[in-house]
Amino acid sequence: MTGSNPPTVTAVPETPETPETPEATTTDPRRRAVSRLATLFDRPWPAITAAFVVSLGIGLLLVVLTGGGVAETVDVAARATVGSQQGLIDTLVYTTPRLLVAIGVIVALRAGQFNLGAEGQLQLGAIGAALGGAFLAPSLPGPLALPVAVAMAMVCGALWAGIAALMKVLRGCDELISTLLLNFVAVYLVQLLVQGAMKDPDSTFNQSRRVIADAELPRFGFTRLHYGFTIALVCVLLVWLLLERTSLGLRFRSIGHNAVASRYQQLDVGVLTVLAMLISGAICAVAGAGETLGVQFRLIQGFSSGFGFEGLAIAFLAALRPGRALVIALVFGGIFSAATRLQQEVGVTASLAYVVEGLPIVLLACAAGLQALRVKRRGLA
Amino acid sequence: MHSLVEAFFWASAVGLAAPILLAALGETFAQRAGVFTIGIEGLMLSGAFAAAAVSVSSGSLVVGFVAAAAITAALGGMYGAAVVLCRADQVVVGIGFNLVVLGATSLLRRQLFPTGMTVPDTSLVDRRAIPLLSDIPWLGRVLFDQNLLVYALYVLTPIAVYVLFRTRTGLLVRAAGDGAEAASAKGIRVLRVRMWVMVLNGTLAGAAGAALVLINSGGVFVDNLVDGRGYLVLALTMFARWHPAWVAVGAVLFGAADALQFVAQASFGGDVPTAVFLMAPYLLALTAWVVMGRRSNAPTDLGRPLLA
Amino acid sequence: MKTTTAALGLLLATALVGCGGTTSEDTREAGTGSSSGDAPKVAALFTQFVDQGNWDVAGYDAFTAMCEKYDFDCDYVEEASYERAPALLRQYAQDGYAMVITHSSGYAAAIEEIAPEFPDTEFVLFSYATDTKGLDNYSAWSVDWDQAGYLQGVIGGLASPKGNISILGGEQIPSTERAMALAEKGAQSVNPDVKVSTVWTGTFVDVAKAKQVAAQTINDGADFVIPMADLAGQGVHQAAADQGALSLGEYLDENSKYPSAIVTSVTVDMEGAFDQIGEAFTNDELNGQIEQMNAQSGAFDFAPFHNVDAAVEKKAREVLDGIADGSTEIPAV
Repeated sequence: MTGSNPPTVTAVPETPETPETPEATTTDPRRRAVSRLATLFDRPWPAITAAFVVSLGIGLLLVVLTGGGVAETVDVAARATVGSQQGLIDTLVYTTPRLLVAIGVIVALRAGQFNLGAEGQLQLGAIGAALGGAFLAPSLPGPLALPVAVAMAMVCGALWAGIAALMKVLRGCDELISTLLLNFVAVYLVQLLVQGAMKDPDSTFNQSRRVIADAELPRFGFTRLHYGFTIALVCVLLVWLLLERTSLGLRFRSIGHNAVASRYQQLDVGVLTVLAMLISGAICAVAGAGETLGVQFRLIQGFSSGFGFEGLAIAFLAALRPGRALVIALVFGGIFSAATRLQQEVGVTASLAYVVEGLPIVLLACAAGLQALRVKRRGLA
Repeated sequence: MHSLVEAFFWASAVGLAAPILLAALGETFAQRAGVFTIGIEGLMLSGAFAAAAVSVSSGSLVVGFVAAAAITAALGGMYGAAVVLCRADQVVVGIGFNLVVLGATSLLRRQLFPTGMTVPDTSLVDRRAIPLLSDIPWLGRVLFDQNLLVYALYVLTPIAVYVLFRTRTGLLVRAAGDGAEAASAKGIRVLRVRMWVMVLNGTLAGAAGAALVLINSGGVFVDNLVDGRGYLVLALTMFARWHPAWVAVGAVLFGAADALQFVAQASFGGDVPTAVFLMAPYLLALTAWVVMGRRSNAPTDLGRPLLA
Repeated sequence: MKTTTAALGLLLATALVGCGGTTSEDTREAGTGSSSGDAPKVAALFTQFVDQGNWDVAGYDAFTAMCEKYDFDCDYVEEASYERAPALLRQYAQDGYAMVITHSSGYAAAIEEIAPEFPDTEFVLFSYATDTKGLDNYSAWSVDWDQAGYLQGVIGGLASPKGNISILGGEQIPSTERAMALAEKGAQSVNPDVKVSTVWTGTFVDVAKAKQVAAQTINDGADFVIPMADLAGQGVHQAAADQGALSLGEYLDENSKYPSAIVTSVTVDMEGAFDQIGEAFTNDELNGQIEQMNAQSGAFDFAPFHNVDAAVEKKAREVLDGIADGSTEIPAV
């Protein structure tokens, strides 16, 4: 459906849309108003695939230039992804936090908020989960431990994102920058807590007490894949429902599309902005909770994942659509799993993954920009 | 002794401010012309890497510095080609660019410099006191016993103010970011202006990265050396209201927040956790912004590609 | 949405088919050396870089030497941050690695989680540990940071011309906290009037920050600076060289980097320790012990002295020997 070129129809006249907008093909007027970004990356699958092929090719070239054999590299990469059971599980494990972050930022981006603070919200989620799982949970009945720990994480992440939202609504501070700066504050806040208030006195390192067994995320069989993956899938579904099937989602997309127009339609832009950021922060925080309750089981110094920007990249490539984000996140998980394996077996630095992940975004952004230009010029002519 | 009026404290603040100010001058021009460069973090990191790599290989700091500026000028041009000519979304390109640079510099460092990446001799860029001027009490030590970059900035900052507000070039830059479509309709070549500004931004960001590694870090390159300073540059540019003079003031305040780490620990001992000092520059930026509040003189086309 | 779902279904289906049909994991396991006469597979985790800095460089060299001597099939991961550690440990254990050595005290939590699940893999922590949780396959080689710090302080107290030294810590972690506290005692033991200031820079990698803080302490009167900041310590040495102060290297002989500033280093015999690990593994003697690396075991020594009188080295060696034979007591902090 994305390949066809129907005539441009827009709900809000100021902002023209590209002809490839799937929303434009539907007759449901509610679905026409989407943020500019959503249409920006709404490329047909062949384009996305092509961008990844180009960038994987460059990645392979880099590996070869640094002394790896092609056959060996392909073999390792295949084994690290779909070529073995272990590789598949690794891929899903690496996918989980990235997918959650992507889903989280999609909510904010759809509402027109550039939430670049996923990393910080994730850190706060880790703090909240540790607070809930190690300090609060012991005094709760067993079945409540896990839900309470996750809920604590979501509250912490939401509040952190709320700071940026309030700064924007009350003082006009661009959330682009404030969320970026809050990331660094969050990293040092974790350091502050594990060195002081939350430090386990019996440990020879700066880390919190272990979360209790009841607060752990259970794992699938004997694999290292925890139920965070299921939570992530549920989030995909819920966010899709929120954005596409509820009036709140419609209002988010409406302010994302054009805040001024929304004001005329008597939507309280400020309240919606804050709400979108709160939800976004809460979902990003679940990624941090997954790390604390499913992998580390404690808060630990030096915890800085870098998932934040990868999650953003996924959201952009997915054209801000939850379903697509799942697919792209699986691809990113595979890239990261392959890069980690390549480092162990071929000796290539794992940061190769960043090159392979970053390039397609730049390439597709350029293609999308040129497309928008062509549309505008055709419209003028 | 550990007081905030001590000359050395402010001298440190000025020294720490220099690379941030240099990059922020370029970013001020870029944002005035309507280009919001999230990728400045990556541009600075490329400059730092190129400066260290070329200095180590050629044995000359001058060659390293020039090569870094040239390479990042080219990168700035490529970045410009994406966001200006291809009209790609500026934030998206920035995020992708930073990811690529982070990965590529770390990869190249391992492959090209397997035994570490340290420039052996950086004495060329050591502090040099200016005779007579450095003898002025207090002020002399703060301002005139510094490294070459600081002296260069004493010249560059006023030039930036002059060019931006008193020349036709500055007018073109501001027109490209404030009412770009109208400017374009009047025959101003907005795209060309934005491209040149991005080359300038790349050059200055690269030089700032070079200074960061050669001067501030004593020639030692480590992965992710810039570590968020690029984002501080963005924040600084915006809450300084796109005016080079305010940018300079803000940069020195950031430098002071950084230099505070020693003074505060010496005064309060171990009572204040280290993490608080590490947060300080970021908290300062956030606070400054809340205080400054909504800005009315923001370039209206900031972040928007010219679709015409 | 339809395309998305279809593509997703296709991808998952391919993945499942691929996964069901594969036996590659089995072949890999059969190929590992735990059963046959092949070289045992050994891996190491480093927090930073094996080619820059001090701690991991020295550790990597010792690790490589061990691998050659005992003919292990070795792998390593650098920049293995603590949140990746559980995944990496599990991956190595599942891949049939016989021993995984982790080169930081921050990996303790990850080992405690993973070790019970993989009794056939030996996990070794190298740095600082007081408890291996009763696990048979979790052993530790623990550097006596109290002694190391004390010795650093002794050299500072002896070598500082005006008796004013400054200690610059990197990240505030327990092992460095102890070393710093003891360094103060060590300096006072040889020079009761010594002035000691301590500062944390909060980072092991930010050379620029360390350089600037060191410059401030030197301006404040310190003429001998002791970095406990690993890679970031390069900035401390450089500030000392710039401003005519003296400094102390970490773990290995660093004098060639800043000959006019660096006096000596308290070296840690990592080569000897890794050799012990290799031997214990080969003889199947890894069983949850904590091996102390201290003056008594001969783990500490000094790099050649520069820039100071011979009397400094003589006195410092007396203290080292005194700790080794028990005649010098390290005070408690």
